[in-house]
Amino acid sequence: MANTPTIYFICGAGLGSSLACQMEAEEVLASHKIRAKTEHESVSSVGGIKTDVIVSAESFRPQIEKYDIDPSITLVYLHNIVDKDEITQKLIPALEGREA
Amino acid sequence: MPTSLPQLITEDHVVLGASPASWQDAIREAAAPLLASGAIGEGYVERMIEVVDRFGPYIVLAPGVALAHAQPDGSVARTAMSALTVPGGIAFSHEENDPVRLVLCLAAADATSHLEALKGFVQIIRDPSAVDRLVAAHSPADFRGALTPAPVD
Repeated sequence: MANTPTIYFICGAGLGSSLACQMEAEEVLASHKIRAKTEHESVSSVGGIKTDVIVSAESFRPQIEKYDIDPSITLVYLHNIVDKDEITQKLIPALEGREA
Repeated sequence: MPTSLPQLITEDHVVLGASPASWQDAIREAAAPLLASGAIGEGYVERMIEVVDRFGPYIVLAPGVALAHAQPDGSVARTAMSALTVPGGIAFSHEENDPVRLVLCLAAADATSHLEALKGFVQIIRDPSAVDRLVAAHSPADFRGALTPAPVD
């Protein structure tokens, strides 16, 4: 059994949209019976984050990619950060991919 | 400690029927009640605008709905929210979710006190008809009535 993965949700301020995304993702994870540790943070702190997965909006891709992100971290970018379908389609395979 | 969405968005924090000239003005008009009630300082308003200048219109979280916010700092006196309806819509240059007809303004005094309200907000923006009801509200009381969370299925 793999360790419980950590997922960080990233937005500009680290308390509004990232948290909204985290709430939606937690429901998606629960419905798939996937356990994960979820956190949220602002994009300015992304450089120092130790995590398994980072979830953010497409609009933050340029900022996030400026940082030297640990290549072992899986990056997931969403067009609509509160769209459960998109979260399901992208986050679930990302987590399953890590287990494999 | 009032934390639910209808508790934070009191009637005096609701501005209806606005027609701002720009998205910047929409954020300023949405924030005006928070400024007036002393929940935030002028600096917070400008930082909410800077967030969009820097990172783009990602605060437009759902079709027609923007959540203006910035990081908590000394210019937030207490956790508060306000709302602005723009029935004619205003462009935030969002590829999919323009025009914005509802701007919510979130000021968080710390990392957790706004959690419950944000949950209520996410429930509302999932449902386009709930957004329509808010934008169509004729009075602040009407608006607050439409904020009451729909029954969870």
